[in-house]
Amino acid sequence: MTVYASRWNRHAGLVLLTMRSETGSLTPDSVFELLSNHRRRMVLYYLRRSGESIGIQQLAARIASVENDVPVDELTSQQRKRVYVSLYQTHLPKMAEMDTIEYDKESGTVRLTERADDIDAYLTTSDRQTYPWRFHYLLLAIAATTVLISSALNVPVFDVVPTSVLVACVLVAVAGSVVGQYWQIQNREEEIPIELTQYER
Amino acid sequence: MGRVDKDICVTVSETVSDALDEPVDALPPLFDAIDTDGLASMVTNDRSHDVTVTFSYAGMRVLVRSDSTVYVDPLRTARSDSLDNCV
Repeated sequence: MTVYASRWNRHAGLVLLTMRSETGSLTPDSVFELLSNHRRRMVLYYLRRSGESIGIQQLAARIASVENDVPVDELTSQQRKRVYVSLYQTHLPKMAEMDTIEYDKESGTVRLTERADDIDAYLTTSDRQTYPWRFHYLLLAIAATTVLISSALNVPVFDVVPTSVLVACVLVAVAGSVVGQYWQIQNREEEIPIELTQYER
Repeated sequence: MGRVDKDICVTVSETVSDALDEPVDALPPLFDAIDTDGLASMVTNDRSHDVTVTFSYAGMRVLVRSDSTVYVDPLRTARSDSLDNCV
């Protein structure tokens, strides 16, 4: 914390440090600044996907592979070095200062901090039309209410089925929707972010 | 080739590394010396925008022009704390 404070003192003053400690999360300005560079986005993506520490050399090789559109083992040393130097000299120090990654100098590895989770809210994972869940639940609520009221009023057709069976059907429909929605969210998190799939330079 | 020319921060690091005859890993982060995003956005192919930025980094005076030209010179300063960097 001491190192952290002195670093912030030098750059932005003690006021900013206090403000940041109180809120405890990244400001939209700093998140968009961080995301404004494709290499930093790729660092975030690869660190998120691995879930643990990655060597800077390895990280640079993966990013160089995407940028140059060649497999990692066919990269020239110049292609690797360019990305490595850019990560090591500019992007990783910036991300470390924002406290979104931790840099282990001895092993030459980096990993995401908990603060990096703040960035997720700003990332779109897909531009594909997603299933309209709100509309789905609205229809479900209307259908369930209609069925249960009809059953209570002994409307023909509904009076032959016991109310308990109808209630069970409604519960199964709700549970099924929740499971479906959960499954879709889980799958979406594993997709490549749109920022990277549309990568062009 | 175009991309290689554009990445001015890498060019600065490599130029200083060559001038000091030290590996890039041994240099302090360039980010600590200057806002690297700002430095990168200054470089342009438009000749009518002539911008020059000077800053000190790793004991060197670095001068970057908006046409991607980089000059480095050992710091010449009277300050005693940087004397060991001047040699």
